[in-house]
Parts: sequence; C-alpha cells; structure tokens
Amino acid sequence: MRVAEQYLKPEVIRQVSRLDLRAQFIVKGFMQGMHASPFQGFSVEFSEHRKYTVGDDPQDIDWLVYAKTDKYYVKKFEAETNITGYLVMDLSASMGYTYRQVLNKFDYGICLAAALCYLMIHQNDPVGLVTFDEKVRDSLPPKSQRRQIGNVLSVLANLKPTGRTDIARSVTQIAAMLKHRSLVMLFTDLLAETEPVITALRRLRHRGHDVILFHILDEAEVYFPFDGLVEFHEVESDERLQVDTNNFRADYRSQIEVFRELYRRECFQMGIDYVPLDTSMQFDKALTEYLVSRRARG
Amino acid sequence: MSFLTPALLAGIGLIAVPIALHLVMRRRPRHLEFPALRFLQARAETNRRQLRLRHLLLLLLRCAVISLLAFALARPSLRGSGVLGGQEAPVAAALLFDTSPSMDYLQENETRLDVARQLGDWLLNQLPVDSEVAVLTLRSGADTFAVNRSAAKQRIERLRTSPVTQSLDRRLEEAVQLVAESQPECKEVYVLTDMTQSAWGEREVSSLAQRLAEEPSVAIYLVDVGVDRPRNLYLADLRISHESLTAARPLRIETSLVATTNEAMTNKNSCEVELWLDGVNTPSEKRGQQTVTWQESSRQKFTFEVGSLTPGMHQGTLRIVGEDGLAFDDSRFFTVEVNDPLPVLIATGADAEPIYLRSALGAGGFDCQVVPLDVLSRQTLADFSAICLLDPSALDDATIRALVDYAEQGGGLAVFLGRNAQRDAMNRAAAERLLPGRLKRHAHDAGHLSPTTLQHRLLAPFRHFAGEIPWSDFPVLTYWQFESLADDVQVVLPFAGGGPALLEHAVGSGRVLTMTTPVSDPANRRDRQPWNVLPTGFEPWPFMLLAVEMMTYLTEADADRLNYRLGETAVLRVPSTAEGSMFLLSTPQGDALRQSIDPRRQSVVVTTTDELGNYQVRSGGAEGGLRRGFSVNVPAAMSRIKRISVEDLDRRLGKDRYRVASSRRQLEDRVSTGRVGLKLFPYIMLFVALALGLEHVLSNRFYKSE
Repeated sequence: MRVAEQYLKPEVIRQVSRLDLRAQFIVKGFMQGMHASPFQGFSVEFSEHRKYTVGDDPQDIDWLVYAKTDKYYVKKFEAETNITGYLVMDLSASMGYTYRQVLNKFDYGICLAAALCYLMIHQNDPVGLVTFDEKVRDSLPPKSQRRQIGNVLSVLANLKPTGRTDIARSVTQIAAMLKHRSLVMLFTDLLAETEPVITALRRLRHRGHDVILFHILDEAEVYFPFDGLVEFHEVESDERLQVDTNNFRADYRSQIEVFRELYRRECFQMGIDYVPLDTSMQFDKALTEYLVSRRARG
Repeated sequence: MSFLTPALLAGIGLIAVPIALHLVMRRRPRHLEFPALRFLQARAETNRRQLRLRHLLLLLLRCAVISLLAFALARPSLRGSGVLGGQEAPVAAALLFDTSPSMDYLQENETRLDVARQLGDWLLNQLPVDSEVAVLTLRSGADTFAVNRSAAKQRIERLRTSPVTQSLDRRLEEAVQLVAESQPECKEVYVLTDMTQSAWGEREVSSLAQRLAEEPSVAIYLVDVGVDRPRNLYLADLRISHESLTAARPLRIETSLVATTNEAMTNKNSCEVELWLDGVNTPSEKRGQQTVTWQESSRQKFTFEVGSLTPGMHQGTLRIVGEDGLAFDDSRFFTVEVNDPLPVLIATGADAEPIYLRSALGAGGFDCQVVPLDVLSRQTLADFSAICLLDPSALDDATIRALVDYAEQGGGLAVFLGRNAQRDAMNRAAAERLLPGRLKRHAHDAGHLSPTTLQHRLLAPFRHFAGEIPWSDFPVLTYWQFESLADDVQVVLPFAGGGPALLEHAVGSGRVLTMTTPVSDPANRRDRQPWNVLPTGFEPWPFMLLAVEMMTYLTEADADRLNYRLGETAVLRVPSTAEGSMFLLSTPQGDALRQSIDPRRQSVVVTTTDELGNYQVRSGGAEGGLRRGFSVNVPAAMSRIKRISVEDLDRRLGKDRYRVASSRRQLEDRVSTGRVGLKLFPYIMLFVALALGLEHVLSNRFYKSE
C-alpha cells in the first residue's frame, strides 16, 4: 500500500495530531487511490494547464502542448457553478464516545469535515461551518478563499463534544438559516428520536438543499463487542442499565440495523445521500460520497 | 433410609456458603459508557429476568452439589433395618425352621429339611460376631436365644420333621416377638421353608400382619428350600366301615389315591396299594393288594374288604408300593376291634313274631335272646349289649324305669312300634324320654322307606348301593305318627310320604332308636293285614342290613374311638376288671413308654400322639391282660404340597414386608441389602458429578468474559 493511502485509515490518521495535516493526508491518500481524477467531468470551463500526474486520465493530455514542449500537460477545467457547502457538526456528548480509543465519533467526523473542506476549497467552492448541540452554536459563513481552510480548521480543532443534543431542532434552525441552495453535509450519530429528525431533514430538503447525511457511529455501537455483565451508562440522559451482554449481541445488532435501515429508506425517499459510517471505516467512503454528490450537481 | 455416618449430614449446612456468596458477593458489573442505550432498553427487562433465573439456577446447582456430597459422605442406604448398625454390628436373628412333614420331600437324595439345615448352618456362620441366635421350629416350646453359636448349631443338627405342628403364621409371629424384644439394633427372622401352603395356617392370622407392621425394624427373610414341581402320591383319609365289629362281619376300608399332577408322572398312571394286617400276637401279613389306576382326575377311589377276622384287636396299614418324594403320606394306619357275638335281648309284645329280627341279627353276628315283654323286668339288662322292644304294649313303670336306667348307663335300645302300642299308655313312657315324642295316631300315607340322604353313620353301608336299593318293593301301609318331636330327636330315615320312619334320640349316654312301624308282622295272616312287608317281602335284604346296622350302631355307642388324627388325645377305656394301674404304650417307632391308668376315668389317656402309625397299649400279663391299640394318621390336607402363592404371602405378611431368597447368593444379597440397605453412595456420586458438570457448563456459558 502506498504511504498516502494509509492515511485513509482512522488508526493511522490518529497519530497525526494537527488537523490541517490530517485533512491534507486524507485528501492526498484519497486522490492517490482513485484511478480517475476526481475533478474530471464535472467542470467544463478550461482554466489552466497543469502537469500530468499519475492517476490523470490520459485522454485529458493536451497533445498540442506535448507537441510544443515535449511534456505531458493535462487541461484543467473550472466549474462553471460554485456550490456552497456547509459542514454541520453535531456537538452532542455522545459524539465523544469511543470504545477502542482510536478515534471517537467526533474526531472521525472532524477529520472528514476537514478533508472535505480541503477538497472543496480546492474546487473553489465556498465552505461554511455550523455546529449545534441543542441549538445552533457556531457558524462560519461560507467562503472560497484558501484562507477559509485555516479558519474552518481552527474552529473545528477547538470544538468539544459536550452536553445534550436536539438534532431535529438544530436542523430546522439551519434550514431556516440558509438562504441559498447549498450542500449540507451533516455529521451526526443520530442518537435521538427518529421521527422529529426525519421531519427536520425533510424540511431541509424541501427548501432545495442537497443533503449528505454522514451517520457516524462508533465501531462498538455497530458491532457490540461486549461480554459478560455490564452496566451501561448514557451520558446525555444519565441513564444506567445493567445487562448480560452475551445473549444480547444479535438482538442489539438487529436493532441497529433496523435503525439504519429506517434512515436509509427515509433518506432515499427524500433524495438525501445517507452515508452510514463507523469509526473503523476508511475515510474515502465518505469522500467518494461527497464527490458523487458534487458530480451529480455539476 | 439410614446412614452410616449421619453426623456428616451436618455438611449440608455448608450450602449457606454459596447462598451467602450469592447474596453478599454479588458480581459487580463492569461500568461502561454507551450512548446507544436506547437500543438495549427494549429487551432489558427480559434480559434481567433471564439473568436472575440463571443466577438462581447456578445457586441451586451449587447448593445441590454440596448437599449431595454431604449426603453421599453420610453413606446412606435404603431400607436398612438398623439406624446405627453396620454390616458387622451384632444382630438378633431367629431361624424359624418349617418342620412340617412336607419338608421330608426327597429330591436329589436330600430332604428339604437337609437343605434347610445346611442353609441354616451357613447362615449361622454369616452372622456377625456376638449376634444372638434363636433356632425355632413349628413346635411351640420355650423360645429363647441359644446360649452360643455351637448350641444353635447343635439344635439345627437335631431338627426333625414333626407331624404335629403349629402354623407358620403363628410361629412367625412368636419369632418376631422374640426378636423384637432383644437388644441388638438389627433384628432378623429367617423362615426356612419349602413354601407349601399347608404349613401356613388354613386362614391367615390377622395378628401376624399387624405385629409385622408394629415391628418395622424386624426384617423377614423367607428362605425357599422347596422344589418347583413337587410330585407326590398319597392316600386320602381312610373310611373304615366299623371300628368295632363282630367276627361274622367283613371289614370294609375305603380311601382314595391322590396324585399331585405332574407331567413327569403322566406316563405312569397306576400303582400298587397293599393292605397289611396284624393281630395281637400274629405277625403282619398281607391281606390284599390292588392296582389303582388314575385317569385324568388325579383322585381315584378304591376299597378293600377283609373278612373272617378273629376276635381281638387288629391293626393294619395301607401302603403305596414304591417310592415318591414324600414318604410320610404313602401309608395309612387303622385299628379295629373284632368282638365275640354281642348279646342282644329281644322283648316281644303280644302276638309279635321275633323270627325276622332274630334271624337278621343272627346272620349279623349277634347272639339273640327272645323273651316276652312281661318278663323283661326280671332280666339282668346290663348283660346285654342292646335291647329290642318288638311291638311293645303298655309298659309298667318298673320296666320303663329299668329301661331308662339301662339306656342312661350307655345301653342301646331299639323300639319297634306296632299295633300293640296304646297311645295313652305309651305316652307315659314318652314322658320318661323312652320314646322321642307323644304318639298321635296311626297314619297310612307312608308309601315306603325313602332315605333322602345317607348321611347318618348308621346308613353308611347303604351308600355303596345308593340308588340300587329297592325300597319301593317293601311298602309300608301303617305307621305311628307323633304329635311333636323333642329338639334333640334326629330323623334317621323318613318315609316317602314324609313322615319319620326311624328316629334317634339320646337318653343319658345311651342311644334309643325308634322305628314307627313294626318288623314283626307276618305277611300271611288272614285275620289282619300287615303294617308293612319290610321283613316279609321278596329277598328282604335291605331290612336285614338295616337291622344289623341298627344293632351295630346301638352297641357301638359304648365303644372307644380307635383311629385318631395327629395330636389328638387318645382315650381307651379299661374294663374295671383289669388288673394293675400301669400300662405300657408301644409307639410306632418301637419305643415303649410306661404310663399310669387314669383312675378317675378308668381309662388310658395318651396325649403324645405325634407319631404316625399304630400304637399298642398293654397291661397285665400276656394271658388275659389288656390288649388294646389305636392308630394315628396325618390329615390328608398335610399332603397337599401346593406352593403358597405370592398373593397369599402378601396378604399374610404384608406387601414388601418380606424378602424371598432361594440360594446362598440370593440370601447374601437380600440380607446385605436388608441389613445395610441399598448403598446409595455410588448413585449419589453420579449425581454429584452430573451436577458439577452442569454447573461448570452453565457458569462458563454465563460468565464467559470473566
């Protein structure tokens, strides 16, 4: 495996402490892993030539330039339309949960968000940031300057998952906040009542926004690797429950599956891209999802 | 249920440990944070219930393991007879030997008693040291524990069967009582028997089952020494025509040969039976032999008839030739006494013809003297064995008194009522009980003699000809009817019309026979019609036989019984003329016992009739001394060697109250089970292992992560 691709793995990226580096590494790893340039095809206006790099489609090689200079250049295109992207981070305490101590859901989400920010700024798409718990907390207006990367990353790096959350209310608030059609990328574990959340998502979608729902769960929340008698404690509601986990696993997994299936179905109906993730998955899945979405819009 | 080390049962208390652990040291769950709690909540209650159930199950299993271990270590045993006694603790044992005659059954050259003796001896050796042992038989006696083991051994060696026995039920009850009162904790009664029904009483003794129920600590072992299919031939009880008879009359002996059915004997279904007879001073001689064949029915009747016996006592034996398993019942014994012609006085009323009666009795061996009724009072009545009144007229008071006195002394009187009888005069005699009742009138509806049954002893000889006797050829035209009969009057023979023809009643120790129609009417008188043609008809043998039997019956009243059953007391009267006060009793075994004559009863009383065979009683010199005898036979019921059924035993002893063993090994097995009980240790350990395994599996399954 090439070095850059390793950064797609959460356990590797964990060892990188600076968020901007993390974002860069993830994006690099992602780009390198792609056989075709991710930027090709969804922008039509020629902007510049750049040197051919491995992974570029040979079809894009400008043979005229090659004839003149004896070097490979590919034509670079620029999107005609810019998409305003909003990275929406869930700040609930449950997002801070990790079982294997690799990356908690929040870190995972931040890495993804940073990488996406990186990608988008490179595309000259304006990116903004919204965080919420029980309501919207911080928001960074979308901009497409390179500076924006630093702004976004510095905000992200200082975020802490604390307190209770109200996803439905926050999403509704965000829907009201956004004036133009945007791409809303929601990073949340969705651990709340399903019905209001779906309603809120529907409202957001109804206003014409494209939504990518990154449903981030901890590895333990998906696979339930526990054994024996365990007393579980939920931080947000401060509830405790003592269970014998051994004969609970299958049951729990099916419950989780039902939960995810519900969102998958509902999101499909609404036209929302639903990306189920857990903290053991590589980042490229999330990034690809963004790009596919971006292309569809392009 | 008993325990070898009951103290270890206290170990069951250790189950407190897992219980305490369960309560106090509850397993602490790991505390983990988990945001997705909502997905667990739905099933949490079910899960908790399951968890509690598992905990409880585990606790139970652990408690079970501990209790079972404690239980097993206490060495429990099932149905042990003693709470404290181990196998080696001393026991109180009673060895009750069935000594009924059937134990003499011979198979493979061993009698059942031999086998019982060997087993008993072996049992003695098996008993733990310091055990108390009593050896009992079916003869009741002083039942005590033997002084030591060798005394018990000696007692066993000396055992003999005895025909005089108590029932096993009763003896068993006594044995249980003896053992129950003894010191050792472990109490056992061994009954060594061939399991024949006859040894157990005819009917169960209800007190036995009750006693056994009251003494649950006494273990009962039935040691079966019997054979599976016993084969036996025996002679049923003898029926002798007369124990005392005159020389002129033949002796008839009737009995049956009985075979215990058995397939091994089907190819042989006949055997020889011999009759041996001996006189007082004559050696035994064979007087008859018959081949008796039995068919499908296993009982075959046959008869011996012996004539021309000399006066005096005769003892005989009926014997099956050949051998079978059981010898004691192959022979039957009898004693008869043949007398000189007995003197009979015939007193005739006016116009009565004594010739018919006289000739009939003469032929029967009686010495008849005929006198007119008027001179009766002048006769010495005591010289005669019997007196016949032929058609008596009115009797004067002196005669009536004399006759009543005679009868009360034991004399026999026959009254043949006829045309001379006058009602009023006769009723005076009736008042003195000389007649069975007051006369009423002449009756003409008799028909003829018509015995409905031949049950009366007097009629016994007629039984051979039952149905062939031409009673109707001898019509009875007139007879006397009675007003009413006293309670003790027995109708021996009725008429076809229903009225009584021959009546019997007792006066003192004597018997009086009254015939309501005369036997002294000639048939061919022109001036009057006879009352009947009994003695004058064609071939009047029924009359002759009846007359002889009547006289025999009357004279026999005075006779002694000569044939006894085992255990009965034999009484033989001694004539007052006999000299000396001692007599010599010869038993069948040849022992001679000197005994004294009971002076009060003027008789020889023999109580020890416990041997089968012919006994002789002698006193005085060889010439003119007393020579009498009697025979003792076993009841035929003793020969029935049918095995007792399990149901019967259950009824007598109580179900599951006893154990049956038929070999040493079985006995060892039963006794060790009975004494120590069924040892449960290995079985409980099996359960312990199972419980442990289960506990292990469950706990592993429940607490996998730990």
